[in-house]
Amino acid sequence: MTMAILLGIATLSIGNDAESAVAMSRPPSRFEQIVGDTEAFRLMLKGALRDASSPCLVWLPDAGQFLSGREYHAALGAFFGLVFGHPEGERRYRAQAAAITGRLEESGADSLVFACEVTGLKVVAVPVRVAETLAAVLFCCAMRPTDPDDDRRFRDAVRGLEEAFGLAAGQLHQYAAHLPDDADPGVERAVARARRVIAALTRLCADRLALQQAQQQDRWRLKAIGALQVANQHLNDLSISWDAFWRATARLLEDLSPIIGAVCGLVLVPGRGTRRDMHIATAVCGLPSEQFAGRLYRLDDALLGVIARAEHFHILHTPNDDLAQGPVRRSIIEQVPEVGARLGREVLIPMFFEDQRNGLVVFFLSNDPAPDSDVLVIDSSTGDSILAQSGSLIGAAFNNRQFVQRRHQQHKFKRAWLETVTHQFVAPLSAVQGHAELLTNRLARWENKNPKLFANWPERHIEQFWNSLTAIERTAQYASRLAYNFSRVVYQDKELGGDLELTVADDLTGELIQIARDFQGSARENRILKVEVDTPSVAPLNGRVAIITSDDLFRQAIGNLVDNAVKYSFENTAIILRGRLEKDWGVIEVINEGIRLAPGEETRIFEYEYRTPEARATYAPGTGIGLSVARDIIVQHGGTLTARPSVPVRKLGDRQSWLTTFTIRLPLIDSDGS
Amino acid sequence: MTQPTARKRILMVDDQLDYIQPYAEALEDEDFDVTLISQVDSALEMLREGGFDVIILDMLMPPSEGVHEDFEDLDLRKSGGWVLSQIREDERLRDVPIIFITAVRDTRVREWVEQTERAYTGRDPVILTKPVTLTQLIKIVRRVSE
Repeated sequence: MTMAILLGIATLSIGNDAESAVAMSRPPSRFEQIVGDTEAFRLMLKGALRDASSPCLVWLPDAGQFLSGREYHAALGAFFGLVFGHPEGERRYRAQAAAITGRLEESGADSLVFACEVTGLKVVAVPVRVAETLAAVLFCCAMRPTDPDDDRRFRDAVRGLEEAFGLAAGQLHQYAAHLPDDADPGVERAVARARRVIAALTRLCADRLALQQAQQQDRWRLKAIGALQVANQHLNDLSISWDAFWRATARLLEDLSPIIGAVCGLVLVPGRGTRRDMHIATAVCGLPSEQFAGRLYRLDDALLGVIARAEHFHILHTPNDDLAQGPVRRSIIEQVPEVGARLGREVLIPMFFEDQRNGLVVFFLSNDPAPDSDVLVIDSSTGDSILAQSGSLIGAAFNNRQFVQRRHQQHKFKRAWLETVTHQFVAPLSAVQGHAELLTNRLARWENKNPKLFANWPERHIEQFWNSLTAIERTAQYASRLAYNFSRVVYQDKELGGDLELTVADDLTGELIQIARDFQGSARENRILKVEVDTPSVAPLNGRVAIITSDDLFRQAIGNLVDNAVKYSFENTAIILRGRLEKDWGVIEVINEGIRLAPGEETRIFEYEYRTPEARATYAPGTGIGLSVARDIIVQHGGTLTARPSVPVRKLGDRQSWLTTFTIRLPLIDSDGS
Repeated sequence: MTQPTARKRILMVDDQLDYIQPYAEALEDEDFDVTLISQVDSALEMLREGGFDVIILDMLMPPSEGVHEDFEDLDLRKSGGWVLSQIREDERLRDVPIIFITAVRDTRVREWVEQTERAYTGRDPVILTKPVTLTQLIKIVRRVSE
């Protein structure tokens, strides 16, 4: 007997609008998620079952729905169209399908022939299993039973349906006459074909699922890498504070938690000082930080031993049996029971940097694990690698921060030491200078009163005596200047600007003359004719520039420039201090004639400890910090200090002399002082 | 006939008397009456007895017995800021000009001295940083003692 071919597999959109709305609003079943294009599936099934002798239905157990379509009622044929098209009929079918699904799940069978309680027909159910999950059931090959008892039950069922649906007596039974009976050999072939189709479909779904999972894992991986990159930018900024560092670390934990399906996480670093035997919780996510940040934990020796022995990029997955014993877990359960109730297994990631094991990143996974594709599978090489990278990143950044901190401490110590040394030098030098000055002043005064004071001294001894006194005073002054410059270097990063007192230089000319006078002695010693202030050119600057009087900073800056000029001027030359107004600037120039400042050196000479080759060749004492300090001071005035490469002037003996100009620009103030 | 002007009395306090000797003598040469003292506690006693027109203080000196142990920072404990506060605490000494001489550039100590002086007198302290020439010191002493 040839049977009609009825196919009922179609798109999700079904004829009834209300049902359609429900179908559209429900979340897609696992089968639909995997197959995706259900229309393509329908066509495939239609092709494979083209010789089938009975309508087919696909049941989606997790959605509690049949995968049906607009053409469904027509395609099912008169009998099933009537039964299934009736709301009560479909309800009964769904109940029957759910019951059969349960039996298939229990038995694990690859097909099941059963008597349908709704129609009394015999039906074949073939499960569609994807990744060990029953995603769908194909109901096919409906048959009229030939056994007399079964046939009677079939007839009773049909009659009952006719009454329930208000159909004419015999109407359904007449339609059922077109169905094959269970003795028809074609049924067996159709069942075999259906099973082959489903086997192919299962493989297809499995492949598709694997692809989907791989794609999702890829998306998670990219997301995790994005989080690592963001963290990398923040954590490797060595200028950030420890607080900012821990905030960035907590942010990384927060970003990674949903990716790996963690409920919460924290970073534990070894305690310091008296708490060396403890670990401190630092960055925290998924937990109230006020309760957990800074909390101390005593980790058991076994775990510490594992961490100590752990290799690079090694992730530790604690066995479930040990979890309840963990101090961190216990504290979470006690402090935040709602989070504690969700804690699954722990993932421990050592924070590595080279040989340093700086601590531990701990994630608590959810005890209600999401499907694999919903999170980054951390037991995979990709997942473990991501987590290991996070541990390595935090570990390296932690190490770098500690390094920076140590350097700051060393710098602080060095500064304190230099401060002490400077103080120790300056105080006695100042005393030597004072004694020399006192002696000079007193002797000069007494000699004035008593011209015969040195009458019994040989003339050359008197001159030597005065020279020695002057040398003592000048040398002490020079040494003090050096010590001062050192102390400026020590304090140059201390933002002195806020404490500095700017005073309008009403008598800048007098100020410069005083500085020039201080260097006359050194100049004479170097056979320099004079240190001279070109007063007419400086006069317009009086009252127009402000200078820092605190610590005599301005005097120190100009003094360093004049000192530099004295050291590198040739004999029988003059050092000139000149001034001029230039737009918004008051300009002071220190000009000398001597060794060359070559092109390219004019910026380098302001570098700390830099001395030009020509300067080194003069054997003049110098440390290479005077100009650096001078520029620093002028910058604190809001001005600039620059130099121009020397220009040739003349031949002095067999040497070429060069004119070198250092230019200070100070911001001009209005006459009213503003 | 005009009465001769009384010599201005200056108290110089420094734990290293050798270092301030030339300053003291230069001031003596300029007709100031200078008393040198190295002990903070003795200096405070002398000051309370009165009669000084100017005080010249080293900014860092060994701590006095009276310095409270609350000062964890040794530099602050040594700071002349403490001596300053002891002096200014005495209303009779509140207006006596004080000149600090120091080789210390630590802004922390300076800030403390500045804050203390401002708190008591509303004025900025006079701080000279070594090296200080005798001429500079004489000029400033003359100015503040007028």
